Amino acid sequence: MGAAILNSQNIGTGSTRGVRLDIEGVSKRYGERTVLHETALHIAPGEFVAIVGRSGCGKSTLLRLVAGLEPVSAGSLQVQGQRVAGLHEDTRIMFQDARLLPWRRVLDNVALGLSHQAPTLVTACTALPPEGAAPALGRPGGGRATRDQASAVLEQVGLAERGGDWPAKLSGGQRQRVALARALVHNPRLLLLDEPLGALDALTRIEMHQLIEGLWQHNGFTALLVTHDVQEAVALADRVVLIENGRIALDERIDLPRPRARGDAAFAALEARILARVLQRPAGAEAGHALSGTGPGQGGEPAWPGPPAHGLRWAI
Amino acid sequence: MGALMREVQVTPLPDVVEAPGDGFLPLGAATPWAESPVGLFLRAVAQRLLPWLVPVGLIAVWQVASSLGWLSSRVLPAPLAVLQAASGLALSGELWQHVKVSAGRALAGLAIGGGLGLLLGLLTGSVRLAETLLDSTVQMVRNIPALALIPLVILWFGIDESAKLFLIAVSVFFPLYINTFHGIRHVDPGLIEMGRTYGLSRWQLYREVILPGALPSILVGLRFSLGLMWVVLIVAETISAQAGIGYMTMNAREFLQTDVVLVGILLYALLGKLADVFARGLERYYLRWHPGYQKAGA
Repeated sequence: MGAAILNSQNIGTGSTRGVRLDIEGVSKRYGERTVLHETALHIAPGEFVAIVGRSGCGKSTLLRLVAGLEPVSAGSLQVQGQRVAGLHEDTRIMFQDARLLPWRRVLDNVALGLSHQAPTLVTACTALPPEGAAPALGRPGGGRATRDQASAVLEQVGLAERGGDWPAKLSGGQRQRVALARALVHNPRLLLLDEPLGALDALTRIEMHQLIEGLWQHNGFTALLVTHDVQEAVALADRVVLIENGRIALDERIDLPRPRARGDAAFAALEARILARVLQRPAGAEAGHALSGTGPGQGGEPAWPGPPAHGLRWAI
Repeated sequence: MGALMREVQVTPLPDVVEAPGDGFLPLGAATPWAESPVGLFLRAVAQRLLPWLVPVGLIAVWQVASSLGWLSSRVLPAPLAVLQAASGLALSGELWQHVKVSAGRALAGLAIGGGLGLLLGLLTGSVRLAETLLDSTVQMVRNIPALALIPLVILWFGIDESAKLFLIAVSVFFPLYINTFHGIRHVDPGLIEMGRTYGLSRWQLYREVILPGALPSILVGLRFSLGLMWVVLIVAETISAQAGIGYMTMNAREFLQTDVVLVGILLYALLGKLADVFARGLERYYLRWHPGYQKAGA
């Protein structure tokens, strides 16, 4: 089901470069505190999944586990069938703050870490390495090729002429675009976005949505976006996953055609529904509905109406 | 209501020109000529000259007071006499000899003490074990003022060159050590994490992220060290020396040559200023990425 949607989205490149991500029974504990409870999530290659939730619900922790920044306490976490153990060169993460090196000019920031790995964006897009094989391309020839590569990606994010500036001269939105370019120059197969637009103003945010969506469609990576902005999730993602108290409480497919118009009635309805679900606190009897992922009024199967008045009769 | 609104006039903000670092000078903004190019030029000139008014005036008063005999030349020789003494010493070559010796001492002490401080700071900042082993010891020793060591240093080294070098090295060691250590420890952990996720090797991480991140702090340490370096040099040279600015002034004191004493004092001030300008230049170059060091419009 996911594949059909994905193929239609990646017409430009013909096939997806994205990786499959399988999260199975993953828990994370910090001392006594359990942040994630036996979470299971499966993401198809090239899929765009948004994780929403209140702050402190464990969504960023999940992202850090996938990135290999922290080890899982229990369960299995596999990228393309391979267990995640530490950092991986096909995975890139974009943080809430741009984390640009202030003492490096914009272009050098983009080229950071390029010199000793990563195939060029262009060659990697045209010649896909076989499944599971490490990219066999050698080092790009010295600083010149690296800089060309970096400025090509910088142009993709619309900052070609700012390559010689210090990061301190850029606006917040521009810095995040540089951070995006820095992630994309490695041509990742899995891009993790940790609330990357949280600190931006509303207009810049909408521009960034379009940019991220376009680059995702063009490059075909798998994307995992953590956000607290439901509208952002609905605008970008194929699936919106809600994490509540360390558990997945909702997994909603967004079948709206792209590009998605925010004024659209279907968009607004979806957004309102998911937002209502996010705001609803799971407590007591409600928790059962919440965890099943089919709360009332979600258009799925009708909620279990409870036992009939005359009682239940079991037939085996 | 509308009429009332029209009555209210917007008062233009007073045209205040801010001179860099010198407070402001509200200069004839209301006069009509101030808007013409000539007026603007005059204002710019006045802005440049005004800060010099007081020091130049003081020197003039000093000169007049000396010429009129209000000031004894034994207490304070006239500025012109000081200039004459300086030019005499410079022409005879004696001045350069002393300056060379003093500057050589200061720089050698800085190289030894500062170099060790930098290296040790890098080590304890980067390696946990080194910090555990060494840092508390260094912090304890730091509380001993370098000048309090003078009697001990004389016992150890006598009163020759090595005693002076030791004193300078000890005093410049600590500012560089502490600022290097803290600079490395206060590098943004987010940047280090970013560097790791972007595949930087340990050495690359050190060179690209940690060292540049610590550099502002290291340069602050260097400026502190340079300041201390001259103070300790002066004291060390005053105790005993066979050459150097301190020797020159102490010698002049013996012969009541107050003008030469003044030349020595001014030389120390000049060298200190030069060192500070040098350190600022380093900062301006190496921290040119920093918004605080960027000139507007540059």
